[in-house]
Amino acid sequence: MTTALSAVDLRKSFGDFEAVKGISFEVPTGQTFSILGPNGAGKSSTMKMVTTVSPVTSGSLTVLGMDPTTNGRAIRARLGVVPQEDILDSEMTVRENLVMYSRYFGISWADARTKADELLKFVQLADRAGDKVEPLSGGMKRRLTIARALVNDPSLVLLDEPTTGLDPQARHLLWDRLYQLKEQGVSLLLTTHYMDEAEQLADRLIIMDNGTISAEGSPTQLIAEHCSKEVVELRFDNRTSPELQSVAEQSGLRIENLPDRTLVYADDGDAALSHLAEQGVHPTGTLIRRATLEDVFLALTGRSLNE
Amino acid sequence: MTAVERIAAQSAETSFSRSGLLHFFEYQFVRLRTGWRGIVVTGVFTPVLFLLVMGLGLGELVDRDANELGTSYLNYIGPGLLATTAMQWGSQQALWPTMAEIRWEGGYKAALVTPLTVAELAAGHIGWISARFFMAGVLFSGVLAGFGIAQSWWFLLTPLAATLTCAAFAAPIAAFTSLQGNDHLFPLIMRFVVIPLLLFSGAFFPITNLPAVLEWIARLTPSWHGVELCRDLSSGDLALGSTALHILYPLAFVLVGYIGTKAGIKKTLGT
Repeated sequence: MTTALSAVDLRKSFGDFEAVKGISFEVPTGQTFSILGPNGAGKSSTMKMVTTVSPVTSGSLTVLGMDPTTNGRAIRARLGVVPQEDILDSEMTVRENLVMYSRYFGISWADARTKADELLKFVQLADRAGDKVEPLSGGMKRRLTIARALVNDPSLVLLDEPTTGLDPQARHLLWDRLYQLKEQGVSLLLTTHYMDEAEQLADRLIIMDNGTISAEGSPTQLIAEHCSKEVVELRFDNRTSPELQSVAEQSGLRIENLPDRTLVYADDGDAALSHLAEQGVHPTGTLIRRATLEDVFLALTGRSLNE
Repeated sequence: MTAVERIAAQSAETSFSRSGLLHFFEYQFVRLRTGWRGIVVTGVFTPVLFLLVMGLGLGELVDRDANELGTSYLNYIGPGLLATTAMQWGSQQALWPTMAEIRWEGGYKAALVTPLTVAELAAGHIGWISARFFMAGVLFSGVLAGFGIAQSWWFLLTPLAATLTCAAFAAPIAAFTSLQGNDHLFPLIMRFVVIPLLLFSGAFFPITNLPAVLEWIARLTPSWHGVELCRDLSSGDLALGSTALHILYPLAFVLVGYIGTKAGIKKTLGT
């Protein structure tokens, strides 16, 4: 299996501050790889090194088989980058944003126009081709940003929190388009705050915290390794239950106290709930659900991803 | 092999390519749709207004008794106005619009993840500020000619000379802007650098009329060299040594400013 991206002991420092502390991972060609982590985990610093814009401090990074230090231009020619913000050109129309961006890649005018029309259909913006960018909704701007990242038929697309701030419909439309890209054999590197997004899209992922990798694997692998099958969410009138802590300790149940609820990790949620009731723990609200990546993160770091 | 494959196939990094610069200019040219009005105002409205008020109005007073300028006041200030307008254009464009591209609107952030390099971006940025002034400068010179100010065929080169003045301000100020986190200092630059230079660069009166210290300070500014170059081209009174100095001195500002802008963009967007 070929690799689209490979990092070995990759580090990034800003003066005395080390943002990325020696991480190693590989993105196989054609797969979707996700980097999860709270703000300040080192995700964006890693992404910027992959785009070749930010120099690697130490370690090795290979992007599409090339070294970013010496082949920056050649790498960028085959990358698609969707940044966190929609930095579109407000002085151009929707279509011009794509055509003129294509020219940066040396694509001929004729090919740029054909590709722009094709991409506008792909992201469902064909009817807005001649409009200015400003009146577009947040979801439309995001789709246009994604289309712009595809003008050069990239081999690797980097998406930095692509659905932040979008409504559920817009998110699902984007996921669908990203899924189609993956089917076309494009490798995707995705950072996100949203666990459901990573679960939906990622073949493999790493969880980063404080510049290091806390865990790596497929979403199901990580849940199986670091979490119980199910999670019971308990809510109490006084936010916490004094009895729960001791009952959990006696029963060997792992619990996590969050500001608004308490999580109980168990392979059988119903059984755990009955057991707690027998021991005198009576929450005002309960919910049994399957474990998610967010629970994995909590289990690994003891805090929420969105903190 | 497609264009993208051709770029991707380049084995070694080249920091500067003519095609990269060309693509940058093409991109900016499309945006000119909203920027052409500024060019027309600067190229036509400004000189007509100034030449009427100062060249003819004030000039009438200055020329009443034989002046010491060796030519009419209109002929004297016309080329000077062209050079100082270039200075103001270059300075202003290197402040807020540059900040917008680098930080506020993120256009250069998007450009830097394409095959474009920081060197091409810095050169393109300074070059495009200058190219737009050149368009205004051609109109401006046309207005000057219309007022009968052109006295030599060398006058045809005045838009180029003024564009050099524009770049000599745009480049170092863009370098300064590229390292700023906000625009707090920009009004100070306009008030305490650009406006004094407008007044003391010899556009309105000979700098020999200034106290000796200020005269020497004026001689060190690229704007004075620009005023002198435009004036010499307009009158056709050119001497090789001084003309070379009036070209090379501002060129040094362009070069240092370009290196600074490149380093500034790299520091702000590439770390």
